[in-house]
Amino acid sequence: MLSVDGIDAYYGLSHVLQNVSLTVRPGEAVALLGRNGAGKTTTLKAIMAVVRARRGRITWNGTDITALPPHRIVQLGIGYVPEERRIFPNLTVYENLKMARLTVDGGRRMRDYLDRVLALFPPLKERLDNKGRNLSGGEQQMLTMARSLGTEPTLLLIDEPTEGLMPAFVETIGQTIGEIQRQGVAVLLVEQNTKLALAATQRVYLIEKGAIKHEGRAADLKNDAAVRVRYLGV
Amino acid sequence: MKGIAVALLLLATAPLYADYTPFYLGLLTEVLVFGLFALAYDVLLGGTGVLSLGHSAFLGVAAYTTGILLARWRTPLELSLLAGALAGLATSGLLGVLVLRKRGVYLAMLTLALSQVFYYVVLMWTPVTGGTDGLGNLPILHLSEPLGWRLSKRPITRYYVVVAVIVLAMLAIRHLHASPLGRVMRAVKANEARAAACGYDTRRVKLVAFLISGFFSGLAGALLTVVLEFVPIENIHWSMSGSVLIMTLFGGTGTLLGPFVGAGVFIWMRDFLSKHLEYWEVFVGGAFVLIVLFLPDGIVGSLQRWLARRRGAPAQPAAAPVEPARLARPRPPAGAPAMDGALLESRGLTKIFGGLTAVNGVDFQVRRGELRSVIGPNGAGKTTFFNLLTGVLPPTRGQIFFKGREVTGLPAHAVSRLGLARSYQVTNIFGDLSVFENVRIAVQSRVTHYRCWGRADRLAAVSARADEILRLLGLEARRHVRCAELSHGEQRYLEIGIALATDPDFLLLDEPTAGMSPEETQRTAAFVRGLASHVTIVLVEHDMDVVMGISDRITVLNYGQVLAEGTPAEIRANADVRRVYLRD
Amino acid sequence: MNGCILILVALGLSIVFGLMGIINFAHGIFYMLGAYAGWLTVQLTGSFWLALATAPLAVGLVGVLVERGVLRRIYGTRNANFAGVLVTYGLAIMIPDLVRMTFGRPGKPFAVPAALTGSLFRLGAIDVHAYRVFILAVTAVLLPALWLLLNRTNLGLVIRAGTSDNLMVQLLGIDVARTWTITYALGAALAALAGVITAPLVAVAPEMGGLVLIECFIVTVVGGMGSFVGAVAGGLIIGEALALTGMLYDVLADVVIYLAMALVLLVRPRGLFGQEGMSEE
Repeated sequence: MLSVDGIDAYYGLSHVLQNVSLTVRPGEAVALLGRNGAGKTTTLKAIMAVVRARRGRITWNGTDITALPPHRIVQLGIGYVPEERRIFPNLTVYENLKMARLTVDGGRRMRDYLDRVLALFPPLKERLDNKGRNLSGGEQQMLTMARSLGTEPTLLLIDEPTEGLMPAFVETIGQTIGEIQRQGVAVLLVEQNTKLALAATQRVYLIEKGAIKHEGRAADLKNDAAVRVRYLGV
Repeated sequence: MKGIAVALLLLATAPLYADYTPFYLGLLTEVLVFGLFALAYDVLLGGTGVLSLGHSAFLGVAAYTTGILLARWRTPLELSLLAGALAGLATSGLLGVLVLRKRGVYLAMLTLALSQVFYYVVLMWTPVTGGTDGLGNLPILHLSEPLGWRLSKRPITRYYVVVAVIVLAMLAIRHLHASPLGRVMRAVKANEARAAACGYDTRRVKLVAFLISGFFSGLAGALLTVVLEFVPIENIHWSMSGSVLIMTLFGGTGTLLGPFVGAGVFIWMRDFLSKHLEYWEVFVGGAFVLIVLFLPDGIVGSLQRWLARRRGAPAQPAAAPVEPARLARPRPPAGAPAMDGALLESRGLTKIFGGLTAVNGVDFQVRRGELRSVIGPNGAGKTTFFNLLTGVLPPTRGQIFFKGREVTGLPAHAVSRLGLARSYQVTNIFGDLSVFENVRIAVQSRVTHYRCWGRADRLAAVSARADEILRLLGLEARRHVRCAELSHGEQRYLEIGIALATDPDFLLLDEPTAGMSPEETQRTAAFVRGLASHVTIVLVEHDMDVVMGISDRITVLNYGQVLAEGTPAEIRANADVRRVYLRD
Repeated sequence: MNGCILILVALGLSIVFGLMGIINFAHGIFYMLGAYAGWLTVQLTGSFWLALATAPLAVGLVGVLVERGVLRRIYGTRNANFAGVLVTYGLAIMIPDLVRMTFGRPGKPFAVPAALTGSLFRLGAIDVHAYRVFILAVTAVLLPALWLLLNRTNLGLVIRAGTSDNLMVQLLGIDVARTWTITYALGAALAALAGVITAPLVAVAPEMGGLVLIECFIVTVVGGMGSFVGAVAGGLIIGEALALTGMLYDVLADVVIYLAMALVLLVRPRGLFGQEGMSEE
């Protein structure tokens, strides 16, 4: 269980997160929604210690992870799918995937791992020997999700997976999130595609200008146009 | 400056007490010459932010030039000195032209490697240079008529002559730092990209800095030949470049006295320590490592900082920006004939990065006086689009027109000089400079770039205009604050202020309200709206309230292409926009 | 300076720069220390072959100390790259003096091991010396080994990934600090091995590090910074240029390689095999 308690974060002097608190329970799928620049990505980065959380605390399964470096947090079971995807361009798809396995089993049992992720993302099978820089946007998105799953997380932070992707892929992503959850991994999803987010998750937080403004069930929010318009739309 | 007066007094009276210090007069003379060398070196390092490891070439070529002229052609002393300085200038010009294609550490290594060519030339050309034996056989040195003073074997006379030259050189360099050119160099050091965006040709500025540094390094080399009456080959070896770097860092970059103090410490170590310890370079190297790690401002620099902190100014209160009712030089649409066409236009503008097409065939037109907002989801290509328009990135295809003429592919500083200015999404100010200087240097870009005489402060019109803009931004109370210490909101205003200060006809604002509180956002929106009556503005913004509230027209980008364009009402009603941008 | 030696030294420099962004001035020092370590081993045990093992190991350890003790303090600070050059330059002044203190100022004689002296065979009019063949053989074994290390091992995978995106490597759970230490030590060990091998050919002296550093930098400029193939190609080209002009007029040889570098800078700034943008900052 992830518990974020009243954290602040800054980019230089810019106060981007103000007293942000949220929780993700085991096996849950939670969405963090808000407009551009509201602080969604920064929240994920604060959890992963890419951005320093000043004030407040982040607890994961009882352990205080606020001051830990990113690689320790990953080793403790939180995975991260970054917004920019961050595929290693000079490595092949296979090597990208293997990178994730190094702290798990040194890349020794790639066979099993490949079977699992290729079941989730079949198109990657043809591209195993292609270098990362030669993949399309959709393929890169699949690769980065498959790779982050490789660290065997029990919570996966996913940052705007559908950004810049064609509608067909959007559907696939939605299904994939469902499948991941079925396999027992909790998900914290940041998305601008409200429809997808509400369909794929059970609980929702709305964030605006660095502060959490609303929390509720996804099902309820689907029907509450007023709140949606207020925080998300025009 | 009191410190300088004291120093000059000490210098003038040195022959009286020098022999009682570790620095007997001859050694003191040498220290001062190396101090000049380090000061010249610092014109590049502390003055312009360029690390050079090739200064041994400038010193050495000059030293040999002077030596050869004196020894073989019995050239008068003054002429030989001048020739040496000019030789240093020529060498630095040659090196500068070759290495300035690069930056940073790479440039430094290039200067190191290239300076070695000169060492080898000296090594090989034995009949002229004496090779490893060095160049000797100098005649008796004396000043020309009418003074005719003898310098050889006259340490006191030599001391005063050398000191006179050095003091003059020091005053010249001090003047340089206070001049408009000196300020430009400092801006390049503080933030090269922003300096270019203000209209300064930064590569040329760095080359000029190289030339000046080379001239005075050459002067030091020439003086060294006179002082030693000999030219050792060690002075053109690359270890001399390391030594001058060490001297400068020991004393403190960016200071006037630091290089001299550093030279003193270094030479004391070389001469004094080596008398008592066989292995003294360990201490030099060790001290250097410690200084880099723990005392990066050097001895004098740290002292100055400590003194400044003790005198410290109390924190100034932040002020709110005034409504820009009057930008006190309202821009009449005159100057250019009334334009039917667009002020800024792009046709088929495309940018491809490897496999990614960030901007795809964008046709875009903005008329004079308009306030246009550009919106779109993350990754839609908005910032890349701005980078293309301002010359930061060259387009893969397509054209850009400004004021009717094509500007495609022009570098950033040229675009700025045509009247197109920009503020950045991530604050990009001259961090180490004061608030006032940030704006002043931008204003100065429209007046002079390379003037190296006269104090920059005395450019009255420039300072007045800078003050005006600070008042407009509400920052005049903060003018002396180092701008890295401003609050976030103040920095965002300064960000816009720098762009405004270049007197643009056209202003691109990239997310000016980024990270602002709701109140600050409102105020900024009103501010931008106020500006729009004087400057044509294109705005990238995520805050829909702002966008809808102040824009004349809105362009929506998606996947690097224009999805829709129209008035706020039209865009609000546009089904495509709602679907894609709001993904609802 | 032998092309093969240059390749080995340049590779170390290039790998460290590619991953850590630091131009390591101390690289020449590791080369010199390797020669001394080799000399010491021969003095104590009489075995050149043992020296080939002890020198890289000992100097690799020194590399670990330098990286942990000194370089760690500058990571992440402002101007870290500059500070890296400055600090390693300071070390490059200190350490030769320490060597002089320990071993004395004059150089040390280092004989070609008996097993490798003499001419191996004749190629037309030229004697092919056994020792030169030995150097070639060592390089021929090491290069593929290094290539395999970079491209077929987990360590190499992390190095290659870290060269393009250090943060993402951490976000996959890997402790990069350790990798950096190992990489730096590896660079030092490579330089040290080159130093031992060169020892019989040049003077083993405290000053030997300086020149090799500059030549090695020229190799990486010509071949391309951060590129394996570049270091090899650059080393061969520069090595050959030195050898050929050395036959004609000794000192001219050094000037020729500087001109080569200037030419590359003007015509193709990133080097023959360098990647765009690698050489900018």
